[in-house]
Amino acid sequence: MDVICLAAAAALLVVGAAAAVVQRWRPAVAALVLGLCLPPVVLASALDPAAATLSVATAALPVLVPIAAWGCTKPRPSVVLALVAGLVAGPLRGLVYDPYYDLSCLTRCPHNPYAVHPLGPGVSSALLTVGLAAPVAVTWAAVTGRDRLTLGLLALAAWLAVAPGDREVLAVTLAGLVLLVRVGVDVARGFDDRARVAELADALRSADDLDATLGRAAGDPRLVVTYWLDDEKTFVLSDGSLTTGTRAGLSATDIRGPDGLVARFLHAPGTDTRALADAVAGSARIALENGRLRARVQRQARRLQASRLRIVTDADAERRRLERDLHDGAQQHLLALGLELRRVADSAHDPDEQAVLDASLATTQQVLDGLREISHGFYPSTLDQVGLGSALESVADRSPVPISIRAVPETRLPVDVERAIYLLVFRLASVADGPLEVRISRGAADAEVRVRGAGVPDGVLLDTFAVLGGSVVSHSDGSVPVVRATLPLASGLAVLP
Amino acid sequence: VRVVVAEDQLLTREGILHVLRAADVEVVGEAADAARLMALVATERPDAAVLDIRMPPTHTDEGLVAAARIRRDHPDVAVLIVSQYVEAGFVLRLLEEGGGGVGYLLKDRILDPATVIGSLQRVVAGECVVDPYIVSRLLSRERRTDPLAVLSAREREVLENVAEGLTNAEIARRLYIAERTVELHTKQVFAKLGLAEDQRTNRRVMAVLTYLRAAT
Repeated sequence: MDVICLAAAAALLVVGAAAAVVQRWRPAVAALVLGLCLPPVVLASALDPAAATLSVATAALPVLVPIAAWGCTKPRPSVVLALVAGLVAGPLRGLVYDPYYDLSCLTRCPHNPYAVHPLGPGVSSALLTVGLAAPVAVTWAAVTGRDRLTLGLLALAAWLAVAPGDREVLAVTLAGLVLLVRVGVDVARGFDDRARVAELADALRSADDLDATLGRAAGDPRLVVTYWLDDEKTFVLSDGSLTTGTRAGLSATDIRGPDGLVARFLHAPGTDTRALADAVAGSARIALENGRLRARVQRQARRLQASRLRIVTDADAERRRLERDLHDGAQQHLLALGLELRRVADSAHDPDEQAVLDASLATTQQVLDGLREISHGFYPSTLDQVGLGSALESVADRSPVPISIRAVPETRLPVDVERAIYLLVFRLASVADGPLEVRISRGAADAEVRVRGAGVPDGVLLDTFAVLGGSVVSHSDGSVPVVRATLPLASGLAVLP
Repeated sequence: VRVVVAEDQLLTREGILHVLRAADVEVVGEAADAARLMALVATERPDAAVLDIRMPPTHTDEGLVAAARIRRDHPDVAVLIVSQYVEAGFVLRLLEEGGGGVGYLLKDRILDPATVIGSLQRVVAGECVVDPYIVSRLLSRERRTDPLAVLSAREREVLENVAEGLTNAEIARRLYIAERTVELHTKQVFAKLGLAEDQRTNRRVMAVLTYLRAAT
């Protein structure tokens, strides 16, 4: 037993030093203290037969198990209580207890030279009871805590140490071994973390997907990086979309830089993000800053896109409102005016009066004609009812240049797509100075429009197609300019009302 | 002649009513939407329904839908659409779904009562009516090569009248020529343009309108 204990002590010293290297300070201190304390306790009688050494060793005994517990687990209250109880009860018992007078070890026990005032077995037992706080507390920690096995073994060691019967050496050996294993694992993990962080720094240098890279490094595929945009006081994801910075079932780790909050990791509750946080605060800082810049640019792009969408939608709604106002308002009142003129003209007897009224009627008719021409095309109000082909033929009917509609898909296209195509042809026709040829084809995922003979499309068209996820380009086919536009069939945006 | 009128705009409805009443047409019912119109047609059994296309609730093509239903459920009730849309697509739809006895006029024809009353009488007589403005639009459409260049002036005139929905007898009256001559002209026109002649008025009109739309 003594040999095992000494070997454990030596190993604890080595592991403790290693723990210090990977900056696991608490396990390092516990392992070093235990490694230093075990040999004198075990070898006290062998090295120095003097009773004094034995007394010191005995007094130190109750502290060792709680120290091991403290090194093994987070400093929770019960473990701290055990430490305090051990620190108080051990030395105090050393001052008042003289085993020489103890009936239970009458033959083997020498005098305790430090016993200033032997108070007899009663007081000694009372102090022993205080010492019992250690095993009780460690047992409690084992029952309620997460490291059940570790703490359970330590609780066993604590009971062995205080229970009657000379099993102190067994107790401290057990505690030493438990701590050894525990710190050993911790150190190994620490070196592993350092290796992963080193890999991480490498990976981040070329990382496009920071979330996945950090997730791999942390061993948590669910890890999400959210960036803090201080000017907007909001978190955004790497694609620039807004987020609250919380997510059900995930814990949050904030990453702070010199100017305050930079990012927040959302990760599985058990994930150890300390090494990651250290890494992104240090060596991988530039990667995180890049990620934030990218997210900010994405966010701005999204806002611009949203704003463009609003402009296009508003313009469309405005065209529709104008068209309706002209029809329902102006046209109706002009008609009423015309009818009134007609009625008066019919009952007029004076030829001069009649002539004036007829002229007014003719003018009213002209205004009505003009109004109809203006309002048509503002908004394709008949498109939905007659279909794209027929609506485009109507554009051709009015166009000052010949337009031939060569091909139109048999089946109807999504309403946004039809309206965008109508707008394209209408606007190209209104500025064309030569004949146009329109071909519309439907692909698996896109609709394509080719307008031969058309000039350069204007900004409204570019915007309208862009917000629908499509594009408009102009090129030339020989000497004939061609405008080619594509639109995804599933734009997913009910853009045009 | 007994008619029902459906138009949701008050001023326009008053205008239509004024024109009809001035010509001694008996207006037996007024409606502001298609549902009320259908009920009136069923109960009043008028000779014709005069209606707008854009009506509540959706303000899209209620009038065209109602027209098709009237012609299907009450074949003896003629339909005269009075619309603000210069839209040949609507005319073709009306002719397709309504058969004979349908007409399509632009709203500002209200200022020309003779045309409105004449058109009403024609649809009641089972003929088709297409607003002359819509026809002239199609005829004067910009084309790269004029497909109507093969027609003589008289033939072109006949074609225009056919497109407006007139019968041969009516065209003969209008052009002061014999009906037999009109028949010869139409045969010539249809042959030159490569169209199949159909005796049904609405089919004949549709063939011409479709040809004019597609010809480039």
